[in-house]
Amino acid sequence: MAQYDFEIHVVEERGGEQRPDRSVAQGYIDEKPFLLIVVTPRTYTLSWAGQFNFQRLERELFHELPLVLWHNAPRWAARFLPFRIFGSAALVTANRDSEDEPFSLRRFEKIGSPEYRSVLRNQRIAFARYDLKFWSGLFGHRTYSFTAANPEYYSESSTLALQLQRRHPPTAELFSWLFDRSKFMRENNLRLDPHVVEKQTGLFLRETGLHA
Amino acid sequence: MKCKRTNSAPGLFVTSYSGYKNKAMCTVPANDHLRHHIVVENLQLYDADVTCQGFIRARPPSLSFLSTVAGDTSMNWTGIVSLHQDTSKEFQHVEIHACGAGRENIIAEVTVVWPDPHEQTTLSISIEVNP
Repeated sequence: MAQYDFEIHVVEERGGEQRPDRSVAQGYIDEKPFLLIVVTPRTYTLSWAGQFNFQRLERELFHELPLVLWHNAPRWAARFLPFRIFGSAALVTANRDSEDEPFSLRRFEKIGSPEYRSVLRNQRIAFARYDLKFWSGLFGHRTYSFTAANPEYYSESSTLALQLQRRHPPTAELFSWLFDRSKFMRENNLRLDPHVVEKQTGLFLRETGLHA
Repeated sequence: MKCKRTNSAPGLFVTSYSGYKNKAMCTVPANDHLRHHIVVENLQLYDADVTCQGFIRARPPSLSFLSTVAGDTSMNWTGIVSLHQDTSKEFQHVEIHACGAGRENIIAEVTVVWPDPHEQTTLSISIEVNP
């Protein structure tokens, strides 16, 4: 496996002054921008050019992501112990036959309703936003938000973004999941040790002091 | 419906319509007026700075705007708002009045800047309204 450098550099704000309530940084692999990191007093957001299968949207959000968000849970436990995921979704659907309304926005306060299922099954998803809470009696809860743009409808963008709480730093498993859904990593056939990225990102999050 | 149209960019959803009491209506009523509604929804995980403009470009026009906001004219208006992530804003302070004959295009141009990822996008929507 070829070794690549991963470095994080703070992005200069326009005008040169950093805002007191957030820090923006760019993660580079071999000096090429790969991952945007936006840190606020309570959250951090990772965004990257994605390679994402929208047919697997729910599988990714409700099965794959919870597994990699638990840094203290053994994998067998995550697979076999009961857990609940609840929250809301906003889905932009594409209507190719409509000149007047080529896109529609559907908001669902509760995921899992028959109406939500129908939209997910029968409509073309152009953009998705989920605000979710995962709960398990054994491992407590995690809050996470996720957005995905479908390049089939937005030719300029396939960006994926994940927002997490700062008290839950990213895991190596999360970065491994992220690498598998990265256009940059796939197109360049790159392999990177996720533990290196976890360590550097965790350090950056710890060292970023911000005021609300 | 020619007087109600939508458009979208990644993380942004915009609806423009001519409305009477918040309901889309394509013809200015005989004894009343319509309003130009633009709804901007920020679906990204970042806060957004939104600049929204309405235009009537035809000369001579068959419709005109009436706004109490300084800087707005009978042919164009501007609204500015900062939106937190996953929030929306409906601009509806501008009245549409009939001043001629013939169907008119009203153009909405919405520019959104997301400062955190340093991204910007502009969406344009044209609706058709009858005086």
